Amino acid sequence: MRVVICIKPVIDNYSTQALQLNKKGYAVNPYDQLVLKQLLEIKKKQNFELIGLCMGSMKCQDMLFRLLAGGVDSIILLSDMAFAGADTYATTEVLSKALIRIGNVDYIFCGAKAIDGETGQVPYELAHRLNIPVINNVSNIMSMDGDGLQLERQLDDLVQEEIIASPAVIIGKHFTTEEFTVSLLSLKRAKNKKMIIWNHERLELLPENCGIAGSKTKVKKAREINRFRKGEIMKGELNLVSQEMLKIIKG
Amino acid sequence: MDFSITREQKEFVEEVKRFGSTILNNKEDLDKFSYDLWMKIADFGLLSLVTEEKYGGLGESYLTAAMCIEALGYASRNNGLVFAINNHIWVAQNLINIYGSDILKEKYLEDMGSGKKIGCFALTEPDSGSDALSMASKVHEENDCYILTGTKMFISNGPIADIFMVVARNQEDPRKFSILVVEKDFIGVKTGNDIKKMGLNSCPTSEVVFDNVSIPKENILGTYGSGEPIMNAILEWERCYEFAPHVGAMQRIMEECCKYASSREQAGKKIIEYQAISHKIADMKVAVEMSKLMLYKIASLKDQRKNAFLEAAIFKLYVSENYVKICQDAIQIFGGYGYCEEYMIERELRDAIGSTIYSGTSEIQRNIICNMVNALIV
Repeated sequence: MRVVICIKPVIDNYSTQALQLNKKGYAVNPYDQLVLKQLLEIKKKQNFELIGLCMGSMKCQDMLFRLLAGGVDSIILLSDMAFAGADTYATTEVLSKALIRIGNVDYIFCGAKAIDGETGQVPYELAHRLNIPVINNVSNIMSMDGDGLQLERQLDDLVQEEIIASPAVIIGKHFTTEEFTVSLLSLKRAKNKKMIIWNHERLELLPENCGIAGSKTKVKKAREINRFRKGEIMKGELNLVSQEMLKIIKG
Repeated sequence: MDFSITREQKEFVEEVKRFGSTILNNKEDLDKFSYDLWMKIADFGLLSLVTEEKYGGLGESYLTAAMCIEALGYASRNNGLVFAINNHIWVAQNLINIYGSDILKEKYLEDMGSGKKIGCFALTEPDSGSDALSMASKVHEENDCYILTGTKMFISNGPIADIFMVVARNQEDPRKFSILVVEKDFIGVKTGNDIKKMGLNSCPTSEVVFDNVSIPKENILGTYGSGEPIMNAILEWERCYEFAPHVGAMQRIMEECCKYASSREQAGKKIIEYQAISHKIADMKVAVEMSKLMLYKIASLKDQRKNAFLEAAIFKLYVSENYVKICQDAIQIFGGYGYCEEYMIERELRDAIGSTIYSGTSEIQRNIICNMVNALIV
C-alpha cells in the first residue's frame, strides 16, 4: 500500500525550537503534523509505504530530513523558482502532476488547511484534478490494511467510524503543535533514506502554468491586522478601583 | 584540531536540545530520580552515544558526544538527572567499552545502552576522598573468583545502580589496585538510602557496602592489579564529560540574564545599560567560550586516543568555579527574583556548588595542575 502525505512548510513561530531556542526556520503545518503523527503511529504496527510530498523552498530540507528520521520512507520536495507565489489552483497543478508521477497511490492525506494561507482548498482541488473522492473531517486514522483505510470522522454531534476504499484524498480535522521525538539512532539511519527533488521540467510542466504565473488569484494588497489591545493599570484603594472598574464595565 | 561542526553534529545537537527542553524539564521530576525519564533517555539514544555499533551503540566520536552532552546541559534544568546520565555513561558504560573484555562487553553493554541496567563508579570511601589511594577496600583472589570487601561512600547512582565499577586495593600486593565490575545482585552487596544533598537530588547518592562479595574473574577491567592507570583515565573521563553539561548550563544562564537585563528597567533605563550588569554578562560569555574550547580540545584528544589528564584538571577547575560564579552573578542580576525559588537560579546555584567538590575538589585540581606543570618545567 502506498500512502502520500502532503506537507505544507510554514514559518516556525510555535515549535519548541522557535519558542525556547529562539531559532526560527520552517516547521510542518500543525494540521499536517497531526495527520502525520497518526500515520507514523499506525506505521509502527502496519506495513505500508509512506511518502512525504512537499512544495517549498530548498531551505525546507532540514525540516523534511527530520520527517525521514521520524519514520517517513521517502520525501519528494517540489522546489523550483517557477513554483513560487502559487495560489491553490497553481499549487494543485504541481501537486497533482507529482502524484501522477509517483503513481499507484492508494491514499493522499492532507491537513484541513495551512495556518498561513488558511484557504483549506488544496485537498478538494487535488481530489478534483485526480478525479477521486475526498473524505473530510477525519479526526482519527485507525488502521490501514487489506480491507482499506479505517478512520473516524467527527461531525457536528457524532463521531462516525468509516472504511474508505482507495484511492481517496483524506483530510484531517484537527491540528497539533506537539512535535514527535526523533531518536539519535533514527537520525543517523535517516541518512540512508531518500530525499528526491523535482522541478517543473521533471514534472513536464510549463512554467506559465505554475507559481504566480499559473495562479487564478493574485494578492493585490496586504495589510497587517493590529492585534494589540489597549490596557490600563489601575492603582489605588481596592474599593475605589473596584468602583471605577464597575463604571467602565457598565459603560 | 578542527572544531568546525559537521551537519550531522548540528542535527544531533539540535535534537538533543529539543529532547531535553521538552521531556526533561518537568518540575515534579527535579527532586527525584525517574525511571520513566531514564527509559525515555535510553530510547532517545543518549546512553549509547559512543558505544560500539555491534553492541547497539551509535559509535559516535567523543567530540560529537561532548557537543551532545553540552547541549543536554543547555536544554535541561534537571541537573541531577543529567549528572546521573553522565555517571552511567562515562564512568561505568564507557569503561567497559574501552577496558572491558569481549565477554564483559557482551554481558553488559547492550543492557546499559538500552537503559535496562544502570551503572556507577565506586571510588570514594568514608575515610578516603581527595586521598583516594589510601582506600581501605580490598580484594583478593580465591580459586575462580575475586573476593571484595569494603565500604564506598557518596556513590552517585548508588541506590539505583545495577552495576558498580569498584576500585579496591590488592590484598596480595597493597601497592596495586584492581577495578571490578560488581552486580547489585551479587551476594554481599548492600546499598544505603539516598543521602539528602543540597542539590542534584534527582541523582540518588548512597553508601555501598561490599561484604565478602564473590566476583567472577571475567568481571574485571584490564587485569588484576592494573587498576591505577585505568583509575586515572576514569578521572579524566569524569572531569571532562561530567562537566560538559555545565558549559551548556552556563550558556543558558547567561542567555537568561541577558534577556532579563534587557527587559528590566531601573531609574529609567534597562539594567543591561549599567556597566555593573553588562560586565557580569561579558564575563559569563568569556567563561562559556573558554570552557567550550577546552571541552572540545579534550574531546578531540580523546578521539585521538591521547592522554588529557592535565587538560581535564584545568577544565574541571575552570568550569566548576565559573559555574558557581555565573550562578551567583545571575542571582545578583535578577536581584530579589533570583533569590526566589520560582526563578530556579538558587536551585542552579545549589546544584553548581557540588561541581567544585565531586571528581576532586578545586584544591586537588590545583595540586594536580601545579605538580604536572612543575614536572614539565623543572
